[in-house]
Amino acid sequence: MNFKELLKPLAAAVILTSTISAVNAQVVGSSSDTGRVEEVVVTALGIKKQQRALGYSVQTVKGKELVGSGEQNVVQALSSKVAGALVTSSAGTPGASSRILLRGAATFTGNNQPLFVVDGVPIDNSTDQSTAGDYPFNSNLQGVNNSNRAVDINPDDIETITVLKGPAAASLYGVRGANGAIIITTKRGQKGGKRFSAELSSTMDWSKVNKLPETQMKYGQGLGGGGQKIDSAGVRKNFTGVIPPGWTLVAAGAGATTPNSWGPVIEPGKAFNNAEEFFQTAMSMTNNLGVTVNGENTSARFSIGNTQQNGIVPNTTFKRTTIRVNTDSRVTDKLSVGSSVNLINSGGTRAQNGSNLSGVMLGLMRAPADFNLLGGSGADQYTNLDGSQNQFFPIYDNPYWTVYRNPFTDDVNRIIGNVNAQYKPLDWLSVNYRVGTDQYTDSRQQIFAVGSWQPDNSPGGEVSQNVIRYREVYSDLVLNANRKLNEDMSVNVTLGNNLNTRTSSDQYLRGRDLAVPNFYNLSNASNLYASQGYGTTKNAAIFGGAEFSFKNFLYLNASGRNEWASTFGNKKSSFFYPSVNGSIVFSELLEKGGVLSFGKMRLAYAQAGINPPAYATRTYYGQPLFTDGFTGGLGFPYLGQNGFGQSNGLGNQGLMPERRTSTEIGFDVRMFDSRLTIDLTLYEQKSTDLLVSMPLAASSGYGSVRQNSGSMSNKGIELMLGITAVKTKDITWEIAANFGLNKNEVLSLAPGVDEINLESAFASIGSYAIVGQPYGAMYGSRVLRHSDGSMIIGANGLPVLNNTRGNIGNPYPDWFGSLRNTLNIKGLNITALVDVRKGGDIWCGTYARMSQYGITAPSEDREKTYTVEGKKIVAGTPKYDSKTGLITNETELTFENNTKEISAFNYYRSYLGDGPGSSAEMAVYDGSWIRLRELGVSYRINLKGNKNLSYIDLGVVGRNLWLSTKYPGVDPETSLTGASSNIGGFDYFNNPGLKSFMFNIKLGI
Amino acid sequence: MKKLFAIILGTAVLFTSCKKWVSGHEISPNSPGEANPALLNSACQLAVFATYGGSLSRNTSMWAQHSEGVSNQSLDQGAYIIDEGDVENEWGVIYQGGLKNMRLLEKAAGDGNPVYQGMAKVMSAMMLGVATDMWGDVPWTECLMGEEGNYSAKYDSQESIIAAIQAMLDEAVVLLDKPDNALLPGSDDFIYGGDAGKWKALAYAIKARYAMRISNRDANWHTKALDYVSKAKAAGFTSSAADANCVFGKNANEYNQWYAFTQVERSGYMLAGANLVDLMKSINDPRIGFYFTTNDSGSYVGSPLGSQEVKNISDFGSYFASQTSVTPLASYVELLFIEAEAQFAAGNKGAASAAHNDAILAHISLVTGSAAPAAYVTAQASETAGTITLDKILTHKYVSGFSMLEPYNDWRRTSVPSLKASPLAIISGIARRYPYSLDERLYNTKFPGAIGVNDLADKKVWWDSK
Repeated sequence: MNFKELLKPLAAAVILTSTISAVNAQVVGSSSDTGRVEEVVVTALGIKKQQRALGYSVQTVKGKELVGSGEQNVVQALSSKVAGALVTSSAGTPGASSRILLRGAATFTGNNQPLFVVDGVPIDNSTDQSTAGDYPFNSNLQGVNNSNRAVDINPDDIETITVLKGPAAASLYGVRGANGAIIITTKRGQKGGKRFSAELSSTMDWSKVNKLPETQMKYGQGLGGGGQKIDSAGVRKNFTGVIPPGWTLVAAGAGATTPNSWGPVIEPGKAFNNAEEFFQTAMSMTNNLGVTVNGENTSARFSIGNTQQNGIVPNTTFKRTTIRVNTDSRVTDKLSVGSSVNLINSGGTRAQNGSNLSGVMLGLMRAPADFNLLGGSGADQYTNLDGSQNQFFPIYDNPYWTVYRNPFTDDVNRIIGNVNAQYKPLDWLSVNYRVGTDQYTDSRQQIFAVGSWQPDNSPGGEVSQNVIRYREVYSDLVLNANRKLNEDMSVNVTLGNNLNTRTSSDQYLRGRDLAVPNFYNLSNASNLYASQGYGTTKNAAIFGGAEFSFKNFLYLNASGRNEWASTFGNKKSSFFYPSVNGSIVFSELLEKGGVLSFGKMRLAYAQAGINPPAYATRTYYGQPLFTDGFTGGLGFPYLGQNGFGQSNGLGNQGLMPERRTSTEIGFDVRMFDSRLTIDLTLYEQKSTDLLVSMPLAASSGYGSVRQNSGSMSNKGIELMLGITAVKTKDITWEIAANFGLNKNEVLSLAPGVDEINLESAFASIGSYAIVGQPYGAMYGSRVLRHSDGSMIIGANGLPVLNNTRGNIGNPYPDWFGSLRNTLNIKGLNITALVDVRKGGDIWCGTYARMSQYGITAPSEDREKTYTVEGKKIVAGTPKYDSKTGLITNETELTFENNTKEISAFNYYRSYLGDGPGSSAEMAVYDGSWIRLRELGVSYRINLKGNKNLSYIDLGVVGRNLWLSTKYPGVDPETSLTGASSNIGGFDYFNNPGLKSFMFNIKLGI
Repeated sequence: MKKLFAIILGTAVLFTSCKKWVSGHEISPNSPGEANPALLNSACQLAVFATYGGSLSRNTSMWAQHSEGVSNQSLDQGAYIIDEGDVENEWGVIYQGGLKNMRLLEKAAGDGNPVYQGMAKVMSAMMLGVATDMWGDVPWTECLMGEEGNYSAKYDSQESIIAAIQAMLDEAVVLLDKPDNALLPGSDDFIYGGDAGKWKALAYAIKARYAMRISNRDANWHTKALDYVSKAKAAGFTSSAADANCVFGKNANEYNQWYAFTQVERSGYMLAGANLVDLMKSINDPRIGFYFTTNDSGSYVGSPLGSQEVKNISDFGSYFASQTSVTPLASYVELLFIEAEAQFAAGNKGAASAAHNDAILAHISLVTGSAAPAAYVTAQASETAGTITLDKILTHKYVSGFSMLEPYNDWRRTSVPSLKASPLAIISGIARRYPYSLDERLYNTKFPGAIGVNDLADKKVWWDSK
């Protein structure tokens, strides 16, 4: 049964609340006149703080670096720029979502991504799949590559991003900040700045596919062809020889109804590289204009930006136009006001992805090499004369048909903005008020032309409309008192309140069986379906904090927050959580002028609370949909009748807040006149009373219950290293490294339960939490193993399956890091960013299926037999443990090494592939990589004395020019479910990644 | 002092107003909190259709060799490669979709609506029947208690489950006879349109089925079965018009599930099985063109066991696999075959042969819409006390039971017809059960222990052996 109980934006996100950021929040550069570091950063509560006063780890990324990456999605642009921030792109298609995790996953089924805040106002960063209410499966496994909504922020507008990594930093952002916060500060005018300045920049970008699974081009479509050697019986010739029992020869060509490439040898010159033909070099263009005016009391910045991205998949695009106006005015000496307004229009034509009969990669990578996807008799080559698709297998849409006939388009109109006022009645006292909003309407349309297979295989065609609306209204009022108590001591007290309402709605309309082909309007459909959902969540909070400082040497902070949420049942309505942190600038104790220019130790302890998702307290009724997983199933309205069943999800009136407790210790050390900087953080975070949709055995009558259950820990290290290796008048060479290591462990689940399914996925593999294992463990069918680890091989020469499924991989990397070298020679800037990810398994369902079908490159070697290494049982009958599935009477059995030869067909189909008797375990691969993420050269021409132009910047950047990995699929930086789900490490015909080359020119006035 | 008082008062006001500000959004605007009997009944019936007309029906059809899996997942399923993670949907539909909502229907109907209560019990018996036939020992006495906070149900023996099915059907018969219903089913009853008498007849037919099911364990089964058959007939089960069927419609969410699977969503996964096609060809069965399509060369060809060939193999015909084809839940033809087998067991060979002949003729006229050809009647439906054999009865029941789970259940019980295992099998014979569902192993603390993909040939259910 599937109930669409609430809207995806709310369902996915953990709830509410957040805070301010100061007017004109900015990161100010360092001034190292005395060797002392006086960096100022924007922190939670928006207050600019001296870095030295901070008791917790923050990392800032300059807007320049984001723009330099060439990524238009701000999340992807952060990749490998922040120690410990794990960014995973879903694909290289235009606008595809990217997911970011700070310090690992902290909750089971809720949101694990950090909060995004722009100029003090939280913004939505959800990723929504368009799903009809009657779609029974996990929609994240298919559909198109949608965007995470932070894609709407123009990187060119960003001055800095401050990453607050733990709840220590974010506790004052409330519930939504429990996973950390990405605080974006946009460019503004500056009092006393240049009266008029402007910058016009233009970027051209050429992209290509960077990696595809390798295919064989020797054998064509069919079964039983080619010179496959069968067992030890000898080599068969094409179309002759012994045909193995149970299967016969199917030749390619008319009527061939198999997706297999186990057919005859392709005649010379008759093979097609469909993939090479299909993907194109995509050209994209981005233009930005920013104008800043600084007056005596008022400053303003105006910008307009436009990006037009084209995809490597033909006919896919992402377009974004942004307009931003930021103003700041000093009304009187005591009152200043400011505003930020950002208007965005974004969207494009998306690429079909994943487990989807229209999936671009599905139809493309399975296509036999003797089948030309553009070999149809119709004028456009992907169709036949009768108008039908040119298909090698009936149910797979030809990828050309998909991209030209079945567009999915989205159109987002969004406004993000705030107005704020600061009143300073006294020198030491200020009152800030800010009210902001983020609202958007995302209108989507999916067309499936008559003759397509994807929409539940209804070849009658489909047009569907999905409108997602989201609105957040946010306000905060903050009182700040800053008093010097005496010469050495000062205190800063903050008190505040914030209110937050988020509403969303999702309307889905679908029309099927179109009367007039190529006319796409619901009026043309003879079969209509609609579903809708609404959600409202409100949070309110009162918070306060105090900071003491002593002699610029010792700092102590304490804060607390009491929060109310609309989502609790009758047991609870508010909750409180505190944080304490402090820092000691120990370099103050040392003689000035030594090796150590700055040294600080920091310590922080923080709690965060999270309220339940909306509508989790009750058990509802709804229209059930029954499916066995192979068909769309049976659902209502049925034969003109409505029907309601009770939801499989049990509500719970007794829900409590989820708790997160974090401790961190850090060192910030700068030596040799700050030529060497080291920032090291060790953290430990424990999540308890996790709000989880706890799965239940169906015999209880329910599939899951909302409850507070289980605990999980994350322990890790974040290291940032900076070296100024060379610093002369003409040449500087800077080295910057980021390193992150996170060890996650599921500590407990529920009484008697030590493995839970996190989110439904494929029949053969799912994403689980297992006690004692890292979160998100891959759980699937596996091979029966001897206690020495070797595989048990059956009489058929293939591994025997274990009776039970189990943990077969961990998608999160052991560690990851990046190294950037920047060389500046007389204004010529050369930068190279190398990115390493070690460990992290990926289930390559793509490769497994391609192996089964005999189209992977290794499967070309089929004129021989194979022997799977392992042990076979030659005497005795095994008994199996009822929990682990392992053999319990190993000593009573006699084993011998397996010598059974099997055909290439059986080897690739059922051992490496996902054919009959295979295990998902065999498709799990190490996703480690090393890549040259960026290589850039830029040069600034200063035009001193020129009236009209003050500088010209020229730059070229190569992205992903080099990638080294053992992963057999597409670029291992991939995720089927994108940012819309907690599932990681799944690749099932995911769209590939990119390598790009960019040219940028900037004119400055 | 005044200041302090003001601060305390101000804080109190803030706290109250915060609480007030967030209140009033607890209840979902998207779903109701209750449902009436008619709505629940429709949902329960759909769960029955999904269970009897979905993958269980297709997979057992492959295992009984009516059909053959030729590609993708059907290749695995046809070779008995089904593991604990592959059965969660079917298991879930039975307990969460079916049994739970049937219990809620009984509760919602209350004592004032005995007919709804009786229908709920008949449907529950049918769902529990499938559960025990496929999984053996299953939860019953402690199941469906999630709302009370009991998430783990013990597994009851199959013997006790079948006794519970019989008892539940006895209760249903009494309830279905009761007058004075405040609410009566109508168009929400897809099966019988609200006809309580037909539900009573169905209750007896199911009783007969489960009396026969334990023929290996109950020497006196035939007496009980014959009693239930006669009561079913007395209640109106006297022709195919009284059949209980899964009924389907013309929208995608209403499609016959054989059609949805074999013609629309998974075309080319499973095709006609050689065993049944060859059998029907050998007796010139007039139903063959209704069961199957001809191949490109105009002949009926079934896929041999373990073959992956899809070219020139017959597909499923319109009788069972069109959008609105019915899938039988319990039929008059089945009732007659039960009667034939029970009479045969009782030693009444004359009565057995009469029921056998009637069953064949009734099915041919139901499927083909016309009477059986004379030659066919002579050869196949003219058995007498002297010629009738158990093999003949079961073989014809096997042919007529296409798309039902009964041919597979009967084969397990009687070994008729004789079938050999798929060459792709990884176990020692044809599977004789389903593996226990993964969700039970993981989340039911009373789970008795895994029965997995390697155990399907060996760990027979209780009624499967003597």
